[in-house]
Amino acid sequence: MPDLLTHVLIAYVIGVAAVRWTDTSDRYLPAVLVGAVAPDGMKATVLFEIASGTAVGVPYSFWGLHTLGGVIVLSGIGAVTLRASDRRTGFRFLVCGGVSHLVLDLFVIRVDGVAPPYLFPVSGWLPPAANLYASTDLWTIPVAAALALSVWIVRRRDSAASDGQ
Amino acid sequence: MLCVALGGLVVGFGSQFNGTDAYPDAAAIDANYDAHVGETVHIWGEVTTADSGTVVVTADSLSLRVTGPTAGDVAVGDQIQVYGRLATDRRLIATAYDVQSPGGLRRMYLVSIVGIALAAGAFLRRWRVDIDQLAFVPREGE
Repeated sequence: MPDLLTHVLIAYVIGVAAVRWTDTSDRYLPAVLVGAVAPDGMKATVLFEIASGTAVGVPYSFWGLHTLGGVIVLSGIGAVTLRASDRRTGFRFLVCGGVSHLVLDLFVIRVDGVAPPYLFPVSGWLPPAANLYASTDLWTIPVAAALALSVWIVRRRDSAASDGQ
Repeated sequence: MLCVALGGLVVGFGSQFNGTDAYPDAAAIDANYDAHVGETVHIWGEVTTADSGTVVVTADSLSLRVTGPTAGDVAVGDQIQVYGRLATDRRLIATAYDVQSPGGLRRMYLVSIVGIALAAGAFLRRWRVDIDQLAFVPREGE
């Protein structure tokens, strides 16, 4: 991953575009930000060095949550915490954020040139890694912040203009 | 049902990818090293020795002398991913590697906490917990 701040800033840009194109209430915009954090929930298991291994003879890997399948299931769990009438739309925006996370992770440096099977369990295909940044590279933050800030300014100006009408 | 699906993903992914190119199993290489000599591997480990002429990378129980990065390129404690070919006497001839220092990782985690706080803050500005429904509901006016 790039750091989660980069993920969240880019998710904001994507979220603004998503609520605008689908003509949805702004209140779903933060769901994209939360969705963009969700796949890295499994990183807690990396910190404790239990991300993958074998337990009672069964091989397991929490990296399974850092995939398309993980995004859908985690978004489902997230959506269930919303009131019933908001779940369907909330789910879509959570998934949108999660997918943006996986797409950004395709650009992380992998020295073998191959990214993990993010389409699991749909496919075990290993996509090519774009090798643009390491997880610890901080230059991604100013780039993402500049994008997010530009979008935020345009959005404020638009809403000020529509308030004035 | 969602929790079962979650468990299914964790076990399914482990069965399919543990010990593969995507998630190499250093312990399995260590257990039967000679059988793996000549193979191309991708190892994620930690630099445990960085003297002049010798760089040792350790992943699980597997320790390899790595040719490629020199002592000037890495420091003990760095996280490193190495791609290369296994040679006799537990040597790894690297064709590519990428290093992350403990300081860099610490900064990444700190910055990531800011990201989590930003997402949580943005969400809670528009949504609140409704005790009766035990669910997040939009704040007043929506």
